[in-house]
Amino acid sequence: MNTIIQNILVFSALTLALVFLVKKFILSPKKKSTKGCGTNNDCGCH
Amino acid sequence: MSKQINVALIGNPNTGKTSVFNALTGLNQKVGNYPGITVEKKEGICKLPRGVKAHIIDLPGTYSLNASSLDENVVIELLLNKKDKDFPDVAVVVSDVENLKRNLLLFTQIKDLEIPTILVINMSDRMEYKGISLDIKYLEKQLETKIALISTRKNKGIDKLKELITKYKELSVKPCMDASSIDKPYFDKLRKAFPNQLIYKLWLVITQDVNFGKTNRKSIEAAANFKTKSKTDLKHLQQKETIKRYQFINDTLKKGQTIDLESAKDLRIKFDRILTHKVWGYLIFGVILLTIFQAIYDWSSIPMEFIDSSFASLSEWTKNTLPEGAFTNLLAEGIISGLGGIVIFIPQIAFLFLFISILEESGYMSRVVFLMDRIMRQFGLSGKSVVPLISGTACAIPAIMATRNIESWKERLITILVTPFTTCSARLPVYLIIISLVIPEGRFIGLSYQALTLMLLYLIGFGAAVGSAWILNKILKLKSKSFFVVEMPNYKLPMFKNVALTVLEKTKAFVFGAGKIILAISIVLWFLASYGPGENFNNAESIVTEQYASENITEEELQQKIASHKLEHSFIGITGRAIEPAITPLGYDWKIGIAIISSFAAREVFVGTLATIYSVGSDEVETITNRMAKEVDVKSGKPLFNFASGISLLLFYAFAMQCMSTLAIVKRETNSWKWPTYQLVIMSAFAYIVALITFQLLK
Amino acid sequence: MTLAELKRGQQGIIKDVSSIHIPLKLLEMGCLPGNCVELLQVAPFADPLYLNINGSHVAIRKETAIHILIETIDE
Repeated sequence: MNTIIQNILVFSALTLALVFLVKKFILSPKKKSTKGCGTNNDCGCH
Repeated sequence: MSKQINVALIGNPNTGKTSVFNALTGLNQKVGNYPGITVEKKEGICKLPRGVKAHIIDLPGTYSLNASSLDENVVIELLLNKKDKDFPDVAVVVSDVENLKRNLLLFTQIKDLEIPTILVINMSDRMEYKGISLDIKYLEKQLETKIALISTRKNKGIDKLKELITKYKELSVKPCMDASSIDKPYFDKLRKAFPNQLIYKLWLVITQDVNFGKTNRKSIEAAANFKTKSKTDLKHLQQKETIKRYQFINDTLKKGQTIDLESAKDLRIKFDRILTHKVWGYLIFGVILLTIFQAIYDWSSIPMEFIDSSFASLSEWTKNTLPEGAFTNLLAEGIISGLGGIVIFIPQIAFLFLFISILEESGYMSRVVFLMDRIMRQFGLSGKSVVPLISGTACAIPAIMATRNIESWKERLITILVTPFTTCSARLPVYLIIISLVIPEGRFIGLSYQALTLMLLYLIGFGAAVGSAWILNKILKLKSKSFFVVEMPNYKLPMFKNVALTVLEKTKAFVFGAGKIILAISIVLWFLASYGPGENFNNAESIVTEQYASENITEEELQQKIASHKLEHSFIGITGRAIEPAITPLGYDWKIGIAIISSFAAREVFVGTLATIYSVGSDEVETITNRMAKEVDVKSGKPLFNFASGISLLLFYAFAMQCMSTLAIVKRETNSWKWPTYQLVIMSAFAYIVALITFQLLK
Repeated sequence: MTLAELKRGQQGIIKDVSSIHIPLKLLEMGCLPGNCVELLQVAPFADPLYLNINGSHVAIRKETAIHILIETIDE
């Protein structure tokens, strides 16, 4: 019984970790439309 | 039943706006991000009298609503958008008593947007010192507002401010200036085309190219059949607006403010004569820097040792107390070690930001920027790159976030790209372990060889940062106008509350930003090291027992051999073996190879991984150094960690770009995958080549 | 003459700031025609310049200062 619970927990932890990493690195986060920052100067938008 | 109102805190930088925010919200504040852009969003809750709650946003400091940077843009975007959920019911403009004239420019602009506005005049404790006296009643009348004269330093006036905020509905919304006086014919046309909109609002939309609702610049000019005004024309009109506003402000202050120059004292000039001196300025800065580094190193070693042994004990306790099994192992070896690897850096990072925060609060940092700007520009950086480069010695993540105040995109990009070269705290455990293994005892002019090597590595880090900046400056063809304007604020004693909150905030950024990634990778790596495919792994015990059946070895040794066999055939072991040919010329074996790959999570994971690799399967918890010293190169029989391989490893870590968390931040701050990819590829290639050459030369 | 030519401790009156090379921000900080400016300190190579412009203490680069036209106040 203990072994089963332990294995389930390990599996869950692993899945959570993998899902988190995939989300962070592989899926590109949604970007909002680039806002203008002023017509008369360069403020770092490229 | 409690109401909640939205309050926006706006003001020039260096007016103590943050202190006001801290005084109003205390610990009820949080820092996040505005969606889609890399600007910090600071908000908090304040309990006002009569059961009213205020949701306060601390907007980025700005000198006017004419935005010249991304974070200043946030201010104007919010103030123009009535539908935004954070749109303020009342605006609190924070000014400081010594720069009232300049601070009022922003005030008049906000008033012209017909938002109820309170004027806070901070630093009232300095009025006598500067010979300044104010006729508050007169100012309130002329500016059509209510004024709270406060001193955050002496904690005076905050309650009055809270009262005023609660009574915000009593504030007048009459504008200070008639915007159409800027250019009557143009504005008359605007008024006819949009009779229901605020004239000044329309003007801001046109000059700033921002959106509010569905109206933007193009739609305004199209709707009224305008001949589009040229950029130069618009700029001239903006100049005219600025001049007109100052006329109004000067008239108001002529009667509302008196300055007795005779009794005014000025420490700033006296300090600056030395601190920005051509020679002394630099010497003093150098001394301050060295002192800071020494202090951080000394102060953090004790807490770090404590944290290290605490986590080691916790790990052991877990293994002994919880029921045996896979999850217990994961907890003890994967999760707890992973967490330990994060927590152990908190002392260093906290101390570094303590010092940086003190330097910034005191006003000295602007002088540093002034001193360093010309030199930095030779390398394509800005004077403002100093803070990120120094912060990088704690952790690159908050350092890269600190580049947001660099105006020129090219200078900012280069700073972001080279900051990871500076020796961050995560590299230290790797450095220290290797140094203690391979650098001999002995002293040279009083300093131990080991200490000298460490110093040298720090210098190499800075050298690489500056050198690659120079190269990038030549290669990158990016046109960017830089409008370098740095205010040199008055020197003041740092306020403990502000410093403490900043340190808390930056440490949290590291712990949660890097922490989650490190923990996740630790879990994955533990799994890869504890399980493996096929016969070889699953039948490890029987295979090894048979193998050594004829030899006379103890039970303990047998267990260790089984563990080692299991490791070799685990997923991670197979990967390590696979890359071994590529790293043998650098002096490493497959176990080091694994540790290098896993330190892509976070460099300190190198040591943790070696710990895992050597202790996975073994029941003892030996200190890592002892274990590593015993490690022998299978082929030569000599110690694996020798001088040549050690130096090669040190240099590899000095130059390699491994920290995934840093790559994630670079991606976010540069808004593209291009730059972090270049960083990863180029830096790793460079590290490989240098390590290769080093080993081949030294072996 | 331009602001870049000012000597340390010298004061001047700003005459013209219409160049496009001058950021609006600087004007908003008080760098307007008729206002007083004093050079407080200068870094090596006369860059950047630490100035007192109409009460605002700021540092700007030489590349901006050369576009600000001033007239010195002779004591």
